[in-house]
Amino acid sequence: MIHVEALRKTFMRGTVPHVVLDGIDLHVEAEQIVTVIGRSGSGKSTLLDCLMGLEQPTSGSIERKQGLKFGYVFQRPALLPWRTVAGNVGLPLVVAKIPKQRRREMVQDALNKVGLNYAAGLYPFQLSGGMAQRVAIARALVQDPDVLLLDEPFSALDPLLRENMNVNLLKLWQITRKTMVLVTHSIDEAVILSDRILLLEKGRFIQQFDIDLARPRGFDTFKTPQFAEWVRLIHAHLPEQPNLPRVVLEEPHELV
Amino acid sequence: MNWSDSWRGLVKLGLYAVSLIVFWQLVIWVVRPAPWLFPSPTAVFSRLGDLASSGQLWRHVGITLSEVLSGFCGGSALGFLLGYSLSRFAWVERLLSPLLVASNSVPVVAFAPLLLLWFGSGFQTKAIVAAVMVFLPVGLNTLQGFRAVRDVHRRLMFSLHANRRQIFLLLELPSALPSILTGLKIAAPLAVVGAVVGEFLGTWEGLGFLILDANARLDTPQLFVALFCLSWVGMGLYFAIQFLEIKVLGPQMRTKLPGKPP
Ligand SMILES: Nc1ncnc2c1ncn2[C@@H]1O[C@H](COP(=O)(O)OP(=O)(O)O)[C@@H](O)[C@H]1O
Ligand SMILES: [Mg+2]
Repeated sequence: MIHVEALRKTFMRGTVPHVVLDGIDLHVEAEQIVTVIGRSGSGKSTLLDCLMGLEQPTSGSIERKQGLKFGYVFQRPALLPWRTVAGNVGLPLVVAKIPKQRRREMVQDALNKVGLNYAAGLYPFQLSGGMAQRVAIARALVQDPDVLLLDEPFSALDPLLRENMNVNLLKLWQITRKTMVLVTHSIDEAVILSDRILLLEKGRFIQQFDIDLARPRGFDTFKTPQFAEWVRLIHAHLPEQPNLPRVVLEEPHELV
Repeated sequence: MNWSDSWRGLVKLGLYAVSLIVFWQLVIWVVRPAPWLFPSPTAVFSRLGDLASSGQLWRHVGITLSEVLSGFCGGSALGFLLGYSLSRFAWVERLLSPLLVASNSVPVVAFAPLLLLWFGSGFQTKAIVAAVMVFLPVGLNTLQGFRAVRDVHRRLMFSLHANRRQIFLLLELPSALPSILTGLKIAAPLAVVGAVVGEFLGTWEGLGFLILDANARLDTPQLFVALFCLSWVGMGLYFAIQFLEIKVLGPQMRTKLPGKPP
């Protein structure tokens, strides 16, 4: 479905080129969930931006199946505070100039998939963090994309809620069988969701894991010894982080 | 802020005005100032009645009101364009910002005589003075509003392949709106100042004229009538904008009142 070969991406830092992605090969087949893990600043978001076409690769090739449609879930929900939940979910349809009647149906359909139909009339400030992120997922789903790109979608949520959201996402996959490319730095999240995990370090994939846990997966999967074994194995392969502890400056935490 | 809140506000305002008038009358009874220094409410109200029934008052109010409104609308529209282009085009900012800093440090009313020289003593000059007064506050608040558009939201619009026009209408304008409305609220009383200053420079009609005329004849009740009318014009404009604000920002503004269920 998506074939990336020898992808390189450099950003200019002043006059000095800064290599972010340095020869990435990635093949994503239909209905697969592929996860990229790596420390912050390793270029995960840049990779997703390139897949989606928001950033142009410096060199290398990205082949997408003809007419492939993407839905993008950002790290923060990025909801527009002056629009209701339904208005936010319908935003991509407004941009795509879909007629109103059809829009309403599609919005309802997308909200159904994340179990938020009852919240259609609420405003973002009335939502909890988990609800807001589900609205963002509904917004990414509303045009029935072929591929869902998820950039650390649950990293702002507490661990319990996060497991919950992981299971919800698994259910969503069971229904829709959407191809997903996920970015995270939670190993648990990567293992529970993925068919394949790629470890990104210094602009390259240094390790690949094919997770063979049986589907459908759910809460019980977290408790299986196979799950624990995968988590342990991936931990063992994580590169040492020389400069810990280090301060990561990010934009202030905001949920909506 | 919502409708029942603003009605309650209006009632409070009315009660406040009534008690002020009562207090005023009491002061008159106790202090007994000379009527031409500080007239009683009854004197002012009877002068108001005279001026109103002869139709003169409405003419003057109408003139000043239309100067204020046209100046306010024109100046705000130009201010909006200024703020938007400053936020959108770096070269506009480089070109204009020294000029803006310089002109901002001169009291805007000081330009009025110059405007009189350029545009004559007619209606247009008063409207232009009012426009000049509101131009910068609206412009700077608009600029601030457009600068406050969040990066994640821009990325969102790019990811949806929104075109320039859609980004403006669906993201930038709604993001900037609260700040723009704040600018308009600041600008409303300034437009009144501008129009009256314009009238002071020479005219034979309008509330500014009414004040000068009253002053020349030591007709202090008329002076008070004119002052009240001016404050009504200013408040009317202010509340009109507030009404607009509630209409447009209703759901968003509720976020600013913690503890109040929407
Ligand atoms: N538009 C850009 N211009 C310049 N540098 C960028 C840009 N986007 C990302 N970078 C740099 O690329 C590196 C990787 O960023 P990113 O892909 O956001 O990392 P991650 O998502 O893994 O945390 C960072 O060092 C960041 O500073
Ligand atoms: Mg990132």
